[in-house]
Amino acid sequence: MTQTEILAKLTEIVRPYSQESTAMEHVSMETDFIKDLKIDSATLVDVVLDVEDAFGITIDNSAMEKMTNVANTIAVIEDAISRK
Amino acid sequence: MIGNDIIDLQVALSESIVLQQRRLDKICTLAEQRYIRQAENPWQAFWLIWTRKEACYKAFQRLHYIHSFCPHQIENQIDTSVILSDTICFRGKQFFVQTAIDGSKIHSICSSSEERLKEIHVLDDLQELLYLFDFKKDTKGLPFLQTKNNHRRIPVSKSSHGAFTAYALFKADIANLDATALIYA
Repeated sequence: MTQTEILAKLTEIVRPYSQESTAMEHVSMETDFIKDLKIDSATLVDVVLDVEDAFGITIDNSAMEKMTNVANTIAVIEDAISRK
Repeated sequence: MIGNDIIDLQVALSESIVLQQRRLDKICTLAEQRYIRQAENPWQAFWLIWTRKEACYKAFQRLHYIHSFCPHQIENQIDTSVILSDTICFRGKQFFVQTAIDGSKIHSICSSSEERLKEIHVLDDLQELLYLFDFKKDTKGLPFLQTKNNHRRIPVSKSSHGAFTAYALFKADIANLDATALIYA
């Protein structure tokens, strides 16, 4: 799975949780879930759980700590896929 | 160091969602999970634990800024499996926390000492202060109040959820700032 494919899938996972429609149109590696997409921490748990389901991976708590932005999240997903 | 967090129980995620085991494992320590399961109202107990963690995280950010998602590392101290103490620990630092619950909301405030915790003043809007101050956020996104003449700034913690908003600040800061702002006005 390429980084672009992961980004596209991740964007669709995040979309229902963000009210920031303009920011959602420009999701990139630099996008921060909390600052840019205004996703609160209670909802960030949903993103993590949905990522686990969508990619068929398990994310441990130390990896989850990094998942505050798109770049880190993609790195976590790539790492988990490589260990499957 | 100051932090606060509010949850509107009318719009909070339901019991069947928040008590899912895989979700609890990502958020709570084992002791917290035992506390929640044994509570009379596990759903409310979850949100109580959550607001305390969030308030603590915000207070910690004032001490040492981090941008991380690590709710499981913020540990409510539980005296027995059923009684929460008034302390909470995060990355080796102890904080004091106080929670108010009514039928519609849960609100927690947190600071670094018991004395400082008692000095926290909670407002549901800043209207009465905005003739003296502007509400701003620093480059890290941490909110503060700045005097109109830019001479002083004081930390303020903001929390919004559903129909509720709460601002927490230290009483002494408001008193000092009030005087300073009037002197320089």
